[in-house]
Amino acid sequence: MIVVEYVVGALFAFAGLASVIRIVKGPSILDRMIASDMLLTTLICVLAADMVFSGHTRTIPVIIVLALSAVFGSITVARYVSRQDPS
Amino acid sequence: MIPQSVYDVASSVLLIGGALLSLAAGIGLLRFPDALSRMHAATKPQIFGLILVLAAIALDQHTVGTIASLLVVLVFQMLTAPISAHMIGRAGYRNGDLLRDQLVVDELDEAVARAAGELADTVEGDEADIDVSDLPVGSADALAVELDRVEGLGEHDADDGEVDRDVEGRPSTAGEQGGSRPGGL
Repeated sequence: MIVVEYVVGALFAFAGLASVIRIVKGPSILDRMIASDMLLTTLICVLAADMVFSGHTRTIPVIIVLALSAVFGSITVARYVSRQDPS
Repeated sequence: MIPQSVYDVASSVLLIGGALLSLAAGIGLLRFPDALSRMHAATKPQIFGLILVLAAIALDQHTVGTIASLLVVLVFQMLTAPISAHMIGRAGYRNGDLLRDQLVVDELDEAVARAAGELADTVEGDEADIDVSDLPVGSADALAVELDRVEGLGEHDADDGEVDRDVEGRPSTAGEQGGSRPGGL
């Protein structure tokens, strides 16, 4: 089980790092939004994995709220995005 | 009764599967060329990866209350992920934030061209008289009016669909605007 913890942790860490790199590099705001969506998904998965490894269910409400509110950020940004030069 | 170790192994396998999906999404996010294909990669763990990880919790805990809460998470994610993907994809298409030479087929472009042709035949370009709400939702005409509006907005960089405000921040009346503009979304 401890090996699984390290493997899963490394994979999720890479996914989070990749989305942070994409947030920093851009180039457009939509890329950043996609990456931040994915960072949030990774966070949900990490919380879930922590529940499996530690054998508790305390963070289920956090996961519910994250799954509910994840949509608002990307909708808001996508709604007000206008034609722009890639920067 | 199934021993706990079986549940542990099963949930470990599911967790690794979910983590591998996240890894694939991370690689896709870094290496894919444009926003739409990055979105394709990034949405893989959003539903299927989440299903795997939540199934791992369900196997690990296997109590009714936990599984019910996890179902709530899954249902909300399944309801909201397509909405945000739709909004981002639409904004990306309108922004031109895509590599057209990588597209195999672009049905939206054909629909927009067809709608623009129909619109030019019927009303001869007087877009101020057209209200989107009069047209059937999602029809070619409505799409063309919408597209005209968005392209017009890009030229004098107004806020997309927001009420025009005067200097003091009050919403300006329709009379000052000199004609009805097609309503916001």
